[in-house]
Amino acid sequence: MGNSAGNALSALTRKAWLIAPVLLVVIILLGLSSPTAVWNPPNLIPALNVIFLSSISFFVSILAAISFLKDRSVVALLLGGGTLALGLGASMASLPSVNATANSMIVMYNTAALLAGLLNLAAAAILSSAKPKRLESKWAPLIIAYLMITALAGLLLLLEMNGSWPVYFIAGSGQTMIGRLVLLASVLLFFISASILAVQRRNAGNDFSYWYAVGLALIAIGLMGVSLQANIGDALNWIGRISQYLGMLFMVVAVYTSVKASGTWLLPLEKALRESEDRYQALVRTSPDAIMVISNGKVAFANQAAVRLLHIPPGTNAVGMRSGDLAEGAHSLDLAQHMARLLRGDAVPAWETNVRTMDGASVEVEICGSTIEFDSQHSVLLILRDISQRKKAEEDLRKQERVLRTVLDNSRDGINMLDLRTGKYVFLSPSQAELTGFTIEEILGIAAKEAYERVHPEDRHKSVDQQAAVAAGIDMPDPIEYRWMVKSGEYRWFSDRRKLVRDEQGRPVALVGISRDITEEKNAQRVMRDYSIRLEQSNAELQQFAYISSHDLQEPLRMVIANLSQLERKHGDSLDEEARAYIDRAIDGGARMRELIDDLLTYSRVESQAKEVGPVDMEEVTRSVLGLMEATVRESGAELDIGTLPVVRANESQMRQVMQNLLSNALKFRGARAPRIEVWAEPGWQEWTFAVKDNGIGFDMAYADKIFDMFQRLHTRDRYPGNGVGLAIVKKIVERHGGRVWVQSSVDSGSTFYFTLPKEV
Amino acid sequence: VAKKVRILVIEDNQADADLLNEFIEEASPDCIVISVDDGQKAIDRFLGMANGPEGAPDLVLMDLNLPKRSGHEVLEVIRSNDREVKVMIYSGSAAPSDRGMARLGKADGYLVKPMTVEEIEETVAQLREIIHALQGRGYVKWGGPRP
Repeated sequence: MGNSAGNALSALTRKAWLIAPVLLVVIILLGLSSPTAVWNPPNLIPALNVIFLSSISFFVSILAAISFLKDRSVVALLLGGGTLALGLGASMASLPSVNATANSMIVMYNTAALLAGLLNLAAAAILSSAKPKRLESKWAPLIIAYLMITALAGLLLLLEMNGSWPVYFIAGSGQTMIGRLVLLASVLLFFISASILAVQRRNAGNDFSYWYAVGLALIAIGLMGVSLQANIGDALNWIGRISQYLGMLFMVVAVYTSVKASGTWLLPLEKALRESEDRYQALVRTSPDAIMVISNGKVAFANQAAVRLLHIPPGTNAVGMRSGDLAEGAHSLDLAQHMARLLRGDAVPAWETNVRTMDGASVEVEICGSTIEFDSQHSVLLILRDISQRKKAEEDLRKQERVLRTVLDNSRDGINMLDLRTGKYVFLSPSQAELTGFTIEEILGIAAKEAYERVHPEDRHKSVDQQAAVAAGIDMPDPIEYRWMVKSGEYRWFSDRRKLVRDEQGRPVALVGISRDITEEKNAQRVMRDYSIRLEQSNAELQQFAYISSHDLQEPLRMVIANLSQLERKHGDSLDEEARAYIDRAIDGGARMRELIDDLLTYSRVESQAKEVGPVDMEEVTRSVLGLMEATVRESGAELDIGTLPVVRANESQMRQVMQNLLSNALKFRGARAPRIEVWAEPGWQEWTFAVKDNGIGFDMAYADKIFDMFQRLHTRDRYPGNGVGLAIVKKIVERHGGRVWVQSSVDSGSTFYFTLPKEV
Repeated sequence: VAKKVRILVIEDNQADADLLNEFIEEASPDCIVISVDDGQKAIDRFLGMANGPEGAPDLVLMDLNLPKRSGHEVLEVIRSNDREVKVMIYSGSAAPSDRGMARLGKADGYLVKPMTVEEIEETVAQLREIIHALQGRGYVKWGGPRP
């Protein structure tokens, strides 16, 4: 509907009812003046009756029937019946057979009007009760009602034609007493119906009801006019008719506006109500909360959510369940008590309890209750919300909180939270207070300035920088370390991590800090650092000492030996045998000492030497070492078996040293048999194991560890020369390369020396 | 008459220097031995000879551990002045270390200070060969050390 048209119509709407009082006044004036002029062209009145009264009435009654079939509204049925009766009355009055007398016309029509009035009043009354009445079935009541009305009309026609119906009208003098009574009753009924509908219209904002009410009012006024007429065709008769015809036109308007507004031909008698009812039904149907009505201890209604909540199997009707079965034991009693209080009219706040599902499970629910009239029963309306999830979530949260609280309370690290908006701490763990020596209250009382001033001056920038960076949203994964003056006035080292906390909008709101007292670690670190520096120094000094002392020992020794040698060379001839023997022994001792010094030098150089590491072909090293010892090998008649040896990453000259020492031992400690020496290597997961095996004198495994010690010898020098440094050098070199060395031996059955070297990466 | 071979002996240890003199004399009587006992004196003497009328010595026998200026510095000076002069390191270590080898650098050879009778005889023999070579009477393979 267009806006201007709508405005015009609504303006007209406001004033349309004025036609009724105008007509009323005209009728009253005409009734007082009793005009006698009669204008009654033949067949005009029956024609007008059919055009206005019958056709419109039948039309409305058909619409009412359709509406009833749609929603089984009793109001629609009654309204339809009323208009049907009126239509039938008007039609019968127009039948040529009853057109003979004015009385029969008036009897037909007015009696039908009385019936119509009754039905309209009933309809209006039910409508105004705001309680929709619906019938169970559709077709049967409609057919019965319409047939009954038609039958009544037929019966009336029959009786009237038989002359068995009272006379209502005598031409010239007007209505008889009975005729007037019937008419006035009709007038009254139509008026009351109109009033009720008008009020109803106000309530529901229903335009149909309004126009229909105006129509009824005009019919009432028309009937009143008719009641005053003296002759068919006099002025009152015409005015009364016109009023009724107008009334019918208003009914057409009512239908028109309704169709226009709703788009359907259904009469919107209970439409507003139906809509609101539909809304409520939709709400109840789709509500996630279970909604139930308990009447007389039984479930009278349950929505879908209730069916789900109670696990009611499909095909089972929740209606009829005993309310006592909804819960168990104490919960059942609790429910009964709450419902009793509700029914008494007490205000009952929502409560939590457990209900039992059909399959016996218990569900935690929160129940809101109220009372409701349901099918005329004072009933309890229960809204049940499943709170088991919420409860579980709450419980989980509480558990989590307990865990968190326990962690916070027992953490060695201090945990704090600084509100960036207020600049105040909103949380401090007990450990945080403990670290600082203050109580939590004291810390909260310390101003930011003082807290800052307690940071060691050298560390202040670190703390400030970190805080600023984190607050600016920069991730600072590494903790800062700084000194902070605790309550006792002592500076202690802290390691702080800070993380930014944002709100849902991503705005920075707080800083969470984790502080650790690292004073002990710092001290330990310092001690360790000092210690390792000292150790390094002392090691270096020791190396230097060993090297220099060995080196410097050589010089005087060399002087002794060299000069003794020269003495022997130059003057040996002039010395006797004994003197030469002394010189030989002195030179021999000196030579041994020289060897010792050389070995010591070698040993001390293992560490001091720059470690140049590269690929070393161990097989080649072994063969070249054996090449240097060729004379000894040949002289001993040794049999050699050198396996395939790998290339390792090592210092070549030191590897040479290792192989030389092991091979010379293998040759040196030989027994009576000709020596047989085997060298091989085996790959392991991450290392190579090398083996040097001989068939020499071997030794007791009790000495297996000792033989790698410095100066450790198992045999006299006379039998096996040496000074016990060779294996110590082997051990030191192998260990320096990340390997291990060990030996397997037994007396008289040879020894196998093993050492490992990491595989080349 | 064989050419007089002039040998500059740089040795801080007097006893060693005396022994070396004995070995040189035993190896060849046709030698003029000039001895200095520290690095600075060695440099001064070498430069003095090289720039004087007599010319640079034919052979330098030098210890590596010297007072005042190290053997390395001395060797640098010698080599930057005269690429022809033969320089033998004369050192005590029986097994020359890698470091010693590196220091050897621009030297022509290595003589181990001998101790035993056999070693002395070997050293004397070596010296004889070297001196003969310098006199043009023989050939010596200069270069690698003789451990």
